[in-house]
Amino acid sequence: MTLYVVRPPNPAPGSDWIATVPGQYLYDLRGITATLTPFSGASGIAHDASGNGNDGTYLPQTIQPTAFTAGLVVGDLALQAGFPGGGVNTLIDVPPGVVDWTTNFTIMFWLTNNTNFYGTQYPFVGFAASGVTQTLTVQIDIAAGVSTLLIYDSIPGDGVWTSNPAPGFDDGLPHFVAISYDGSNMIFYVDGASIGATTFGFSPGPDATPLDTAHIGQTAQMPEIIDEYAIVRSALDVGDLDGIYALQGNFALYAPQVLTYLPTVYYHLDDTITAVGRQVTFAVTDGHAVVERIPTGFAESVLPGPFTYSWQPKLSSSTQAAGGLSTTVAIPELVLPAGYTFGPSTLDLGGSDRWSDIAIWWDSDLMDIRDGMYDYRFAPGWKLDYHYDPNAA
Amino acid sequence: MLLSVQPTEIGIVSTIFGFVVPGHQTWYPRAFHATAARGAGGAPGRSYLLTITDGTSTVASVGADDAGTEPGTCEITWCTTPAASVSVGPQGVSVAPLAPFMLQAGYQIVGTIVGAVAGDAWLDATAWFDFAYTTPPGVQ
Repeated sequence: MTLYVVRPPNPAPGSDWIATVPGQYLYDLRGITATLTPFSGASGIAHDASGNGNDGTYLPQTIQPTAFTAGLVVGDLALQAGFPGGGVNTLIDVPPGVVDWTTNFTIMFWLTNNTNFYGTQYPFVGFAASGVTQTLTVQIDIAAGVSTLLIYDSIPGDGVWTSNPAPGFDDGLPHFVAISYDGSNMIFYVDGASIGATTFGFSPGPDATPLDTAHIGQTAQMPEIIDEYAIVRSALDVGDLDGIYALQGNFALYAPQVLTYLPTVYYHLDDTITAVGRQVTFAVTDGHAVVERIPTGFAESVLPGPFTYSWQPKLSSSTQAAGGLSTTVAIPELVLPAGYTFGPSTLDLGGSDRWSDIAIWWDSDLMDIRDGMYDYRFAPGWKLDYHYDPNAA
Repeated sequence: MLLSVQPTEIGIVSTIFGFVVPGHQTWYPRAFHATAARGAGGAPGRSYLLTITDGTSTVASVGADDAGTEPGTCEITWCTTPAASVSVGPQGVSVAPLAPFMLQAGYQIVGTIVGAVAGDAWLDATAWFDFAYTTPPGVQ
């Protein structure tokens, strides 16, 4: 018997690795180790099962309100780095298709008027499919001691809904403002209370629905008074907004655990983000049919990994730490003739998941006389890591 | 000893598959692998049973867990490894422990879907074993 430790080359991302017992050898497998790095090592790119690419960014969060079903577009205007300008005309363009503005959304932001500004502010301006005609517009009129929120479903002026008077936004203190719309009912919410609700519908016609690009932020000639905005792709109710208001500030604290899209990242409409998936199994075939398939496991709860697997006869254990998993899985003693294959067979392997650092420890019995013309021991690209031949001189 | 991989035909009763150790052979099973189609409504009562008989009496019976949502499929392996099961959506993979042993000619290995519902059926079954001739073929 001659002992080998060999390393096959790393497969391409999104591929399992398969080892084939080379000709004229009898593999007596002693152990296999391999590392699976989800998302190719990038910190938390969510798995997109649609096949269209453009995976989003996965952000594990400590708070997960059930009202957030998918997608929180979050940004911070004016007061922090990351957005250009920070003052007048500081806008974030929400690309077409990110949010269905006609049926299901919530816009919310914190407003701090410490510049004694009086006048009109447009924190949200939506455009129709033409990209030219303004449709849904949120307007805030700030007067001394009192403010009013208005909604226009087209410019100029028709389909206006005016809220009840809101607390004055000229006191230099931060105020929380939210507009929630479920396709029919619209809620205005300021500082822990609803200031009005109405039934609101978009005008029919090609320029009214659906909305296309939307600008979020501060339009021209306005000082820096809007900060910490968020858009949620669902219509939150007053109870939901109470909880968010109570957190007093950082929207990222309650970003959903599934996914967060940044408005500067364009993605496909039909992305199918799966937070749960992937199960590693170890499969042995005779080159044609599966003869064994052993569940090995995967732990989504400790993403982003990496995950280290070890397959050994008779042993089984698992340790789990934040950000990774180490698993030893028992496999039968495998003595495999030439042509047999073995390796992981992963259910729902992500397109950017990557296997690496594969090592196979095996004893060999020559089934035939070794041909000195070429080396039968390894497939192209394999590397010998260790070799012990008790019969070597 | 010779190594063999032998599939079996799924008969009219699709929730049962079987192997018989033929005459003049002794089998040393390594694994039995089968794939089950699973209809809706079988969970959580459905399971998979591998039974070994000497043709008359049961000498071993090993159960394997079901896995996966319905309708779906489940691959079951009986081999020398601890029990485990995983699933992703409707695709399940399950393994049940099987001790190493020797089976003489006439022994039967039967796989059954227990608690089957409409739509449940074995799709394929494969035996992987070493075998030896107990009597050279052709010799009476």
